[in-house]
Amino acid sequence: MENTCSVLSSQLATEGKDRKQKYLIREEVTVLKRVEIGSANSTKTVRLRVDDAFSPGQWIFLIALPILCLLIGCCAGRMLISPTDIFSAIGQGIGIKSDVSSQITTVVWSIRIPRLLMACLVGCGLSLAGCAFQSVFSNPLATPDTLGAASGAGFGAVLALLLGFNMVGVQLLAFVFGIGAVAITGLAGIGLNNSKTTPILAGIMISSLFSSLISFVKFTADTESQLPEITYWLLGSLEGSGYETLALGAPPIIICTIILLLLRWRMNLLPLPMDEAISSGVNIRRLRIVTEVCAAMMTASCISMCGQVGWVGLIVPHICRMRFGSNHRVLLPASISIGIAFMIIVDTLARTISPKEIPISVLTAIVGAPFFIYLLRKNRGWAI
Amino acid sequence: MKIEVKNGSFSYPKKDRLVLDKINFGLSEGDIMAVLGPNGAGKTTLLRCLLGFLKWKTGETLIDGENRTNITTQDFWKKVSYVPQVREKPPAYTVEEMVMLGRSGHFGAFSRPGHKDVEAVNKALERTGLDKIAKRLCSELSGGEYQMVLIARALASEAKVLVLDEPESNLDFKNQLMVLNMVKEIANEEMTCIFNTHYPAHALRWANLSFMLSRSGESIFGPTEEVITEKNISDLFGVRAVIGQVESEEGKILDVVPVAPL
Repeated sequence: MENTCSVLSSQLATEGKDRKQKYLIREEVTVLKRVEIGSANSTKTVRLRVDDAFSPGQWIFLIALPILCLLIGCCAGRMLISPTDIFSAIGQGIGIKSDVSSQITTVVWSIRIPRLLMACLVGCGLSLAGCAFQSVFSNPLATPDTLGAASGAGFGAVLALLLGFNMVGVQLLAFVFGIGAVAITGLAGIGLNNSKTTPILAGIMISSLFSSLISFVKFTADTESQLPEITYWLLGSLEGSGYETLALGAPPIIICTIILLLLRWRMNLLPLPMDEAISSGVNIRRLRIVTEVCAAMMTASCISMCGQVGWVGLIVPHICRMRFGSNHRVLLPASISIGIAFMIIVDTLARTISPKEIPISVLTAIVGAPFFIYLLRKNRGWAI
Repeated sequence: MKIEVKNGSFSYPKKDRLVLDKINFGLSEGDIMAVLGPNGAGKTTLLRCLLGFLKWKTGETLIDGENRTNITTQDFWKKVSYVPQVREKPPAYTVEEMVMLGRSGHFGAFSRPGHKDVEAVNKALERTGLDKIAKRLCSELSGGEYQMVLIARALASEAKVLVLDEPESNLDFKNQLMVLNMVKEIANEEMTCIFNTHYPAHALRWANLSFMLSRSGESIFGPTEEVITEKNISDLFGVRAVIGQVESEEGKILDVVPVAPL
């Protein structure tokens, strides 16, 4: 009897101790949690900037980053050129005499600069187009190709190559077909209901239609001469950059960039549910159409210049949303800066890391995907 | 500002059944009207017709005596503002950015918000007690806080009529009280408020006018005490209910207790 009693009491004692320990542990956990929440809050307040504009540090970063990338992009290549020579060569080109060799001047002015300018235009155009489509459709998966602009442009270019057009012809036909594809999507999907998903579905259909047409052209193309050219074009490259290409492709991109930048306050209405957006009193239909047309023009123009460059338009806007928030007032300028920097980095890698140039759409994903996953993990998941 | 509906009726396209039939009501400054009715009676449809998201089949909405169709959309939304029901996940804007969207109708497409806009936003934030969380992301707020943000956004637009779609549904007790008290305060400042609700008790406590819809298209409009009666609730909701009085520090409060379905 006594034995059992003592056993019981000792059991009770240990249980009590256990409970106390458990309690203690729980207390520790709550304290830990509190600390975690505290730190999470503090990081959040840092992320949300005070006046929803950039801090001076961010301004410097967003301006300096593309400039630094431009400089590196100008120096690097099959022929390494020192920064001082770059500046002298640029000076030479605009009439300031210096002792830099004419070979360097030629390389800088007729190869590096047009190519870098093209990278800037494409980076800016595709990032902004991606941003715009994501907001218009409140869909984080939207890309510049959502309404079929890229597939349409691809088909136009491939068709032109099949018909043996020169590069200007290829570019023009690509642009026309890119806009045409979006117009067809518009006709197919607009006016049915106020849903934001309907145009996306129509866009997927038109996109896959043009992808099939591209396959069909490839199937009929001459395997010796035309098919390699078509395949190479589809993979995307800035190699063919010249001032002619730029003169044709730059105006739509620059004009649409300016329009979207001016609309940056208004664009904040786009992600709202339809009724809420309408109740702001703004003509939301017109705003959506203007945004979609601008984004489609920029996409078609980019693709017509350099082939199907994927990915930039998806990841750059998301990177910017994570770092700078979703307010278009900051999101658009940030996307331009990061888009330009990203494109220059990728293109510089494409032409330097191997003796033969690597197609750019291969690299955008190889460089972009791991960085994006890293950011995703750091942000503990992500939604617009 | 006066808002009236005369002989409004509505049916969805390609369907004969009238969802709303001969709707008549009118409110002036300081009035709060509750719209009640069982599920599917057309409470939300009524608000959507009133706001112009849907078109009346017959009848009209009058604002200060002027027909809605004679007012431009932009002007209409300067007079009337809409607080939607929270259905979708809010976009990742900060509270002040979201409230600023209420000012969109006040500045041009290519311009930026001016001094007046910033002032209106600040006023709306202070008014609703959101100034402390102005920098937080809407996507990280609780349901009650976000509902308040939507009210603040409507206030920032400086409209005179406020239309709220089930502002207190999905909220806990405290937030229900905060939201409805806010509506009352707003009405006291010479604004006109209309809200949809599932709770007759909320109408009794906060609304001086009530509009009750039945599923068969009948409607009753009048002072709340005359509309919300045990008989009307049993007729229109198909529920036997008891209306009783509760003593509290805030005075006598009427409550409606549903007893049994009929």
